[in-house]
Amino acid sequence: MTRKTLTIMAMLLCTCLIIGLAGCTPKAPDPQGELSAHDDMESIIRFGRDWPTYIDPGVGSSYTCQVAHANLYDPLVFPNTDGTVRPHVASEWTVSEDGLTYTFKIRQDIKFHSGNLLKASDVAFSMNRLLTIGEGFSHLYHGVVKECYAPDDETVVMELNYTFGPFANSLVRFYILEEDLVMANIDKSVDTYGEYGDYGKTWLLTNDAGSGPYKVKEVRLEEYVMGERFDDYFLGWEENAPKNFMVTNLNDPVAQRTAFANKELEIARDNLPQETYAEIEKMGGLVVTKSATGGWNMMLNTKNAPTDCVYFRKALAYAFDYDTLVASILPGSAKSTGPVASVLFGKNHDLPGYEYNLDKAREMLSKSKYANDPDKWFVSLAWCAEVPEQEKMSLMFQASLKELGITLEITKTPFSVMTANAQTIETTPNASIVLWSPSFLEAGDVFKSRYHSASTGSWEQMEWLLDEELDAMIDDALSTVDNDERGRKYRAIEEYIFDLCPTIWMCANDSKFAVQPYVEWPIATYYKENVPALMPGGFDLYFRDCKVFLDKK
Amino acid sequence: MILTWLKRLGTYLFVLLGLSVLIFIISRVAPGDPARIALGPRAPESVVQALREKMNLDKPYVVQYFLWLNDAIRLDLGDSLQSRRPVIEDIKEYLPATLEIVIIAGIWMIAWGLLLGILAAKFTGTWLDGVIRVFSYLGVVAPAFVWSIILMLVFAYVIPVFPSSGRISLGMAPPPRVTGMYTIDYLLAGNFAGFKDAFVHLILPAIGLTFGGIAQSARITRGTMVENSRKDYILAERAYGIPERKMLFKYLLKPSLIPTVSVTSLDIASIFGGAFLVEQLYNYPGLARYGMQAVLNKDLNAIAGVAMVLGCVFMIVNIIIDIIVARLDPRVRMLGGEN
Amino acid sequence: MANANDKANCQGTVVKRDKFIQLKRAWYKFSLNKTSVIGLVIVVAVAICAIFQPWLAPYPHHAGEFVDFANVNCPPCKEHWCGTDGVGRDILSRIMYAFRGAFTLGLGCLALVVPFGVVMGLIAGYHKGQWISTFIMRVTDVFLSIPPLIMALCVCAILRPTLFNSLLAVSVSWWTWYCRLVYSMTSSLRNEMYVKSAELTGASTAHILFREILPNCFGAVFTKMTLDMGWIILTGASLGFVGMGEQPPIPSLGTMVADGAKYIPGQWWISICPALAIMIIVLGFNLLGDGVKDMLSSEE
Repeated sequence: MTRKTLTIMAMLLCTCLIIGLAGCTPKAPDPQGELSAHDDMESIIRFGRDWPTYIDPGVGSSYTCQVAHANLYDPLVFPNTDGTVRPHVASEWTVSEDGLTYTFKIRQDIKFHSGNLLKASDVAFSMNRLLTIGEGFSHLYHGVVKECYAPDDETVVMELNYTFGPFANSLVRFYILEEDLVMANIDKSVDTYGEYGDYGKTWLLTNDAGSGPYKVKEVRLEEYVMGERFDDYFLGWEENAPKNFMVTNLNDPVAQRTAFANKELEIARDNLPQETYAEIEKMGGLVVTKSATGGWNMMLNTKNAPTDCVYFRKALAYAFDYDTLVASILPGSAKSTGPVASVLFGKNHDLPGYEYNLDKAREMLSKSKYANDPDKWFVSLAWCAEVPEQEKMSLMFQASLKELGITLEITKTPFSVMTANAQTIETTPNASIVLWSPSFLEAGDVFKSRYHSASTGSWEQMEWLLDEELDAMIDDALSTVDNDERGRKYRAIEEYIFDLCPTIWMCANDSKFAVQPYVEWPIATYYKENVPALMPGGFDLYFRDCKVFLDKK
Repeated sequence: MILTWLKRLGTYLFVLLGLSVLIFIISRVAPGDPARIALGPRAPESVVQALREKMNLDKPYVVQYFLWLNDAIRLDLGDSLQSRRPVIEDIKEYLPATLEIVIIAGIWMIAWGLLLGILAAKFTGTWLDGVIRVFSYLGVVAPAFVWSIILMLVFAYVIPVFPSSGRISLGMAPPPRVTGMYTIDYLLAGNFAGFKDAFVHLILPAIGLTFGGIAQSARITRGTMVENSRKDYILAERAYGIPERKMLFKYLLKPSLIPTVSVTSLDIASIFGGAFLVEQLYNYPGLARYGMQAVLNKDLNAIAGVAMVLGCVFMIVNIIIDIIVARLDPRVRMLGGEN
Repeated sequence: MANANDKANCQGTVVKRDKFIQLKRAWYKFSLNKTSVIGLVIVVAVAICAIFQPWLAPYPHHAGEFVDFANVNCPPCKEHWCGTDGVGRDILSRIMYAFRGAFTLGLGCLALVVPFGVVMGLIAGYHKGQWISTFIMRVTDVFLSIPPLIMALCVCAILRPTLFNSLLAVSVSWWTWYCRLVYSMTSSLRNEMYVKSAELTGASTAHILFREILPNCFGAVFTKMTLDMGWIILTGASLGFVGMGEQPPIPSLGTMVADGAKYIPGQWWISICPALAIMIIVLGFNLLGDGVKDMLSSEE
């Protein structure tokens, strides 16, 4: 008995040691020969950022979701690099005199991944699904679209509740799903959406029902979304276009850099520490700066003390060191002069912007209603844990506020928690650093999504302005169809917001990306050559336009 | 004997129940509205309210607990807010990955710990003993995440011999699912290339996790062996002329194993704990990474589910260790374990 | 009467001198082991750094609200022995300040955990076999059924991240170790003759627990406390690593390692220096703890 036990133990021990020793002998993990069957896999572009990624366009709205949607589905209209849109699924469209009825002509040569042709009824179905679920980018159309229907196979009609100037531009976020396929995969055991059961949400978590250039190959929740080329794509394919793409949860700066060095990652994400980009450049990676459509905002809660006082807010705005920010923390970024990025339609170029001036800050502080109440000079600040550079900004701000005698409490907050805290005035911190970019490229979206009362309670407006006069101005401007007049109204609104100082507009979001030398990424080339190129999030990573040169790898 | 084990089973059940209360308290006093977090900022209030009701978040805590427990017994742990599917599905997918790492780390820990401990005891006072002693201290003084960062840098970045993230290389098809542990599944499928690939992905995280444990068990093994070797019965046996090797393994090692094995459960606890940070670093899709994400995102159902499952797994580990100790130690065997 | 007083006085001094001699003897035994003396030196040195940081550190204000973008990422040099971090703060000064947090965490946690755990252990051990004992021990089992770090992470997740809260989070499951230790000692000590005789003379339970049994547990508890300081600091560093410790600008060792990890290998000093600092402080407590253990066990 004992001997037997001992023998077994000894054997076990030996095995363990052998395994251990084998483990300690370095071996190349990826010998080419063994993986030759997967040569096709080498033609791939991988990108990692925020997670989770919901590939269902009715659900997801984060950046990686946008990337997945743009590549797996086709939008009704497609964005150009100058901020306008061009026909895509809709070959042409007309607007009625009163601006309330849009009629779209649907292309008849688009095939879904299932092989079926895309019909007008699929478009109507997709819009109704999006509005019913109320997630994803539905807020762009919620309240705007009254009705959407397909009178025949080639025509889709959308009737609006009120005129909405940038409506056509906003449709880049509207993706078409195949009705029959979704309906065949509905989970009827739940009744979340009445007769539509779960509206296919469970199935669409890991499958697609689209017609885009790529189709889902594998989705591992919490890990990655992998797509492979859809050979029958209606716009065809060019040589060397990547055969696969992968959106992963690889997010951590250390992991991103290591993966980039090992050629396990083709495009490194934005907002890594500057030091990491320097490392990547040393490895031969191409670091490019994406021109800003949005900016770094420090949103000030205008309903909680002490940031409820406009002079106190202005004091904060004068105490932020913009020059050091664009010189040392985010080198190469442009300063902001107001809520609207300078490239957007409707920007007011006459605004002076705030500057770093502690004397002015003290002056503002003395005008504030808390001037004689230094006990109240306590500001809470949340920064987004996913963006390491924000910590540097917070620390810098903390140091300069200390000179004014204001205490700044800094909290590193995961984005999801920030979202949760943004739901009520009480839980929203005095200040929150958020990187915000518009969904479509017009000042109107900035106002509607950032400062209109309708957006309070979400991370997009932690200012809690709740200003009825402003709401009326925004609604009025957005329903103006005439471009020039709309632009004039936009500029007036921007000035109005500027005077309220609800936000510290820190600087434009000229975010960096890095790309492997064996990958050609058109947007990166634009960025590199400083050609102004504006793409709504997601479309900048439209992999069909990229090239992967395996021989250079 | 049977009675004592039955009694123990009762104890375990009580502990499980207590654990469930504890976990429920932890997961439900978290601030923030999980329904809103789940649906995102732009969802209309009505949809959020519907989810709140569906998740029973509007009911009193006591009612919530019993509803939760009732579901939990049927393995229905609710939906994860992050992956939007049942937590139990996520756990089924990720648990084997973590077990794979923990098992390998555990085996290495015991094997190397014993080996180093025995060597140090046999060569007490020599340079080898000194080296092992220094190594043991090094292992204990730095947390697993520090070792992992260092290992990752050296072996994945400076000398890129091991992969730095994931479970398998790109382009590798995962094996047909039997146990969910890739190394075993590849072996079962007869795919040795796959086995090797999955195994090299385990090496760095597993080593990072074992340092502390190896050091700990080496120190304890050495300590007890040195102590026991001074005991009278060993002196007597030595006087009888029993061969040194036989004495070392049969009379010295076996009784000296008891304390080592007893602390193994602590070491495995720290491996599980360390895995929370290490899997995150290596982007290894295991339960610990999933749990860490849940903690960071305040995903209540997932936190509760992961803690519950890890609690159960850890309990099973403890039971196994109890059994081993009982086999090794006649005193415990006779008394059937008092507590 | 006077005589008796004298005698008592006399006894007092004898006891005092005995104590003194005992201490001296203990110190002698302790100092025989060179490594434990090294441990003591490390711990004392670290404690001095922590307490006198404002006077000893080269740039004491770098531990507070301070940025200097002209001097970011400066490698170790004469001015900055451990280099500077991404916003230009002297890392050495910050490490010295972070020792404060580490000590506060360790001592604070022990201050919470030891009294509670010991009392629970005494009660459970003395009443072994009764329901109260079973209840207490089962509760410790519940707390031990989740690995301590995971428990601490869960607790931290629902609290605001501060030093005090991470202290609480670590304490939540840590008391059980002291409870178990004292339990096993008490349950054997309660059968000793002197406890039995105290029971016979009608001494109160409190007297027996705290005056008769507790003093005999001191040695073991003290040893465990010294060793635990290191473990608690490690656990605290792990919490800091995921952002659940001290909040900026106050430095904490784990957070510094985590922040610096993004910049290796280019700016290795930002994370390696605090990592080394963790190692040194934990090593100190481990060596010291081993020394104390040897000293006390050889006394028996």
